[in-house]
Amino acid sequence: MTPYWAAGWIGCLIGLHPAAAERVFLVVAASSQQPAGIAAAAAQLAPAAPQGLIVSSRDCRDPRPVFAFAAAPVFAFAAAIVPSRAAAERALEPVKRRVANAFIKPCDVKPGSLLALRMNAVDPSIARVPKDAVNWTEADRVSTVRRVDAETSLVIVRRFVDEPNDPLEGRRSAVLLVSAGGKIVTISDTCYDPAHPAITPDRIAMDCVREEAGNHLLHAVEVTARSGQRLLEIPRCRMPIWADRRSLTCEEETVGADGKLVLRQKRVRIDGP
Amino acid sequence: MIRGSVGFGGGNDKDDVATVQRLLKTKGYDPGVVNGRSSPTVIDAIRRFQLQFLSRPDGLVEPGHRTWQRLSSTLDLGGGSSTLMQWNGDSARWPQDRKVASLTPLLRPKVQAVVTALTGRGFQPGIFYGWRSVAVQLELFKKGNSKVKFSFHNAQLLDGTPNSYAADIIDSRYAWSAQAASAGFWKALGEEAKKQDLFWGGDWSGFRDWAHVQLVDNGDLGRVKRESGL
Repeated sequence: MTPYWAAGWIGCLIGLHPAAAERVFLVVAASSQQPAGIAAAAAQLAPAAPQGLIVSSRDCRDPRPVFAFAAAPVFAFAAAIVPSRAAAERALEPVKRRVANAFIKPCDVKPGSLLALRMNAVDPSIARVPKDAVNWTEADRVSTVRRVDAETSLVIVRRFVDEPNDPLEGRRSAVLLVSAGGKIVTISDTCYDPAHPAITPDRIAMDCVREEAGNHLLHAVEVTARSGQRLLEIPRCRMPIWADRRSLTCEEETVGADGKLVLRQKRVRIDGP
Repeated sequence: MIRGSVGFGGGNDKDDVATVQRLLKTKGYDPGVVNGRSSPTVIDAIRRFQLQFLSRPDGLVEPGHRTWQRLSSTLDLGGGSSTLMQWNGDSARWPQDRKVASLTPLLRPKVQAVVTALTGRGFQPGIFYGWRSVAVQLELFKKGNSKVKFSFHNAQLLDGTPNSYAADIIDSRYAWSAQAASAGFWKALGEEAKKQDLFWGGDWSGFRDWAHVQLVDNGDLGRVKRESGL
């Protein structure tokens, strides 16, 4: 089943939005330097602009600043993203009836960016983070892309889930694998701090924070086929490295009564496709 | 500090009442919700607190007077004697009695009951962490060793005295190794914690903290932080 944050864009992405430079025109209905601020604005505007997208100014590489504040990233809610100024003018008209100061911004989209992938820079669920949340940081609210190799990227979708008695106050992150041609597969629904991705032509391994133990965080290595099929989870291990196509090594974690973390390399065979 | 008197016949300035309410809570006397309003519940809690050292409790806390001195003193370890303690150094290496003393008073007997029960079941339990400072927590966060900047372990009184709402309990033979699970220690810890109406980190399916028990639901983190003056 396709998760809600992926719905709607996977189909249009595949093959249509390869990671190549493109000029688009954003119909900007709101902007904010705060991810929480743009998420709240987008929540209000989205019903009238269901195709709208939250965009980061860092995803445009215009020779001059795209938004008013060039140094810090600015987030914008683009009610429409279209390929020509004429189309933008047409899209702007109805938006202006709701937001008088809506405007058009040209943007040379950075290849491989969230905007190139037509994905929100700030997930809509972020609008629901409680105002009195204690441990949320700005970074927890912003989705990111990480290039793994020339043809592969990982998208980290940072979002909020409203669950009672949650030790992380609803902080979650999903990991999507973007392969050549724009094909996107969800490889983890919940992976805290995904790190150390290691890929082969048909598999990917990465570590995720899974436990707390005294003064340390413990990890699990998730091994997934490029199709998205989970092959194995190796508990209490970090930093996977493929030894060959069928086995990997990782650092096994143990915390003793003195509170010290001991790492020991272990090798694990991975069966399956 | 309070600027005026609180309780029966007192001036009952809102901030003063809230301060007294918080301190009463940390001493194990429930004054109801911390709302800055004097009430029969608050006065009753003051009287019960005064019974420790006054033959005629009057339900009134006055700046500089005996009840305030007792209320605002550092941890009372029982027996009626107030003891100044040093809260410095690595709190993971404190002796067990100091770790117990660093817990909020309502948590202390519950953790002690858990430890006693686990001992009775043949384990060798010990508290790894009671309180730890916010400074240590921030350092752990910065180093990537923790997901939170403020935890229930960091709760404190307004004067900085430890008042932890959480404890980490391990078996000294197993610590966090795989044997802790295979020997049944985590399961037993969860069972004994629940008998004491504590929340157990082993229940947090996406982010386990097997050794962790705490007094209140995670939804109370903001309140505990505010009451810690942080």
